[in-house]
Amino acid sequence: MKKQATFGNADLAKKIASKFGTKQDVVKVEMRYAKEVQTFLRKVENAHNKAADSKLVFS
Amino acid sequence: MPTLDDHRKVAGSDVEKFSLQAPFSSFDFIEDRFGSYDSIRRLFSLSRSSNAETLILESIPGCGIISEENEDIKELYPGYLNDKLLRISFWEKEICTVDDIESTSNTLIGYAILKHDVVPEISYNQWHVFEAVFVKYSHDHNCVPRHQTYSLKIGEQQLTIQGILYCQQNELNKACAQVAVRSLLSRLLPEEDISYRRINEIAGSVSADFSPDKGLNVVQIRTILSEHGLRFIDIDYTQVEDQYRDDLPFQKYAYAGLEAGGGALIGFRFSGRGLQEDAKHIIPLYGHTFNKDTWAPNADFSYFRIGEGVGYVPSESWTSSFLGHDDNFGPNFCIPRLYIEKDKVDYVVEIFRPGTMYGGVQAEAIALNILYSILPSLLHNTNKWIARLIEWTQRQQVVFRAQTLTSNEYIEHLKSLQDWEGNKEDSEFCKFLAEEIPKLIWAVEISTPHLFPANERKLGEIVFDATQELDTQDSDSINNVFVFARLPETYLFGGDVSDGTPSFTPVPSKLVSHTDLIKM
Repeated sequence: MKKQATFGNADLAKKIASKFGTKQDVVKVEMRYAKEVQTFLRKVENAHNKAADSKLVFS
Repeated sequence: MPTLDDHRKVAGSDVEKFSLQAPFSSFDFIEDRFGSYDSIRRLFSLSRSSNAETLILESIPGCGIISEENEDIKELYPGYLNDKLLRISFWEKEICTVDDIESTSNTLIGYAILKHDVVPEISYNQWHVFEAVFVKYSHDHNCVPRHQTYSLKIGEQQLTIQGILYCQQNELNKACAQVAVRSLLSRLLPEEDISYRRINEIAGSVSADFSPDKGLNVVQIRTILSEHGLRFIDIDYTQVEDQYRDDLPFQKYAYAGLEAGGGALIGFRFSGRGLQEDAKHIIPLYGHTFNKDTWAPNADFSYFRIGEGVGYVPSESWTSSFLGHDDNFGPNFCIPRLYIEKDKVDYVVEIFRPGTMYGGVQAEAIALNILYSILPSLLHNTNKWIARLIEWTQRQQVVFRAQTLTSNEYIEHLKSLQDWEGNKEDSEFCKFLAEEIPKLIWAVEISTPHLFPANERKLGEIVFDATQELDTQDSDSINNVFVFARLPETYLFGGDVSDGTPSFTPVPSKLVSHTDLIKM
């Protein structure tokens, strides 16, 4: 089963808010560049994975 | 775990002392004692730049990893002889007798172990620098994050010196790749060094036809890092489309590695003096210069784009040169960041600090999405620095700088911070946070092009769990590593994600404006 995505540790947020208070209500945020960042990170992973086939030798 | 420094801690004999003041000539001395070697000349040049007054030269026996090296070369060439092994050290103050070392131990500028190898069957008769450590220039513009402290003995005196190990190849049992790898691993491994025997054993386990004098291939370099539990991002630009040289430039990965303290390797094609046209060379990078007044951040090429229309100003924009070693020429060079043409660099490795699962470039990309998304929700915030940050974010003029820290290092940093008005963070809050955050974190510092270079200050940071694997399978799960964001007057802690929309809990901070950057 796919793990439920979280944005950090919800329990920590509740614990810390109950001890130190909050400035305002919980804010919901639409992630504006989620796709762009995912595409970028997968590009980095893709390049890294391809280095496994490298033929370069440094001498 | 025992440290691999027996070869450094061995007592010397036949001690000679030289005053370096005129008329002493380093040129004459090197030619008389060694011959003509660029790497040895560089050691003496560094000593001159640091105004060294005394040179001490000792003979030492081959111990520890040097003894191993001798055995390994003898196996390759039965006639091999390690003819001489010398330790030279440079001192800022005049030393009258070796007994004076005790009282002047804080003036050691650098040391080197010079090895003379003779292999009659191949007419080989050469000196090389087995290793050297020189302290960095005291100049504020030279930054060496997380330098290593090496223990050694001079005469009978036990000493330490801070720097990054330089090593040179001998073309017998080690080439540029082995010495570059040893240089960086010496400050990352618990043994505080690695032997060439170990490097070559791992390389040999990868390729049956491995010959240590021919260097290492990429797969061998990767295996050596992995065998020691080190994670990294590497790119072989010959394996991907040419566009990757622009989209994922080598400078970005090199800087991320050295700024976080893991270091970086760059492999390039070189047609310089003494090298064949198609020679491929690899060097270790460990530091950078910081040039407050550089024009570069104002230029478009300085801007780093994550995707179409979204980017930021990376902190390396204020770096003119990387600091690194070139085993052919010696230690502690400034290597201009934009000097090596991108089409000449075929390989880069960003090495992560031990225990870190993903890199600084990745952490900055995730931070960008979080900061640019969170700020519009703070539009009604009355803090003037939040208002400025929103304005700069809209222009995408935000500076990011990724640092890996232990939880203790971060909490100590947080406790030490003082904003421009003199406020400090609530100590109870810091104590509570210390118990709750992961043992190793990425802190992506947030600043602006006017605040970062001149004041060396920032407006906060976004903190991630560095010990978790990044899950890039879907765009939401990437953010599982988020711990919190610290902005002026506000912390934002993450929480549940509902219909793809995360919620954040704002918690007050006593720091209302800009604070110092992390300095490790």
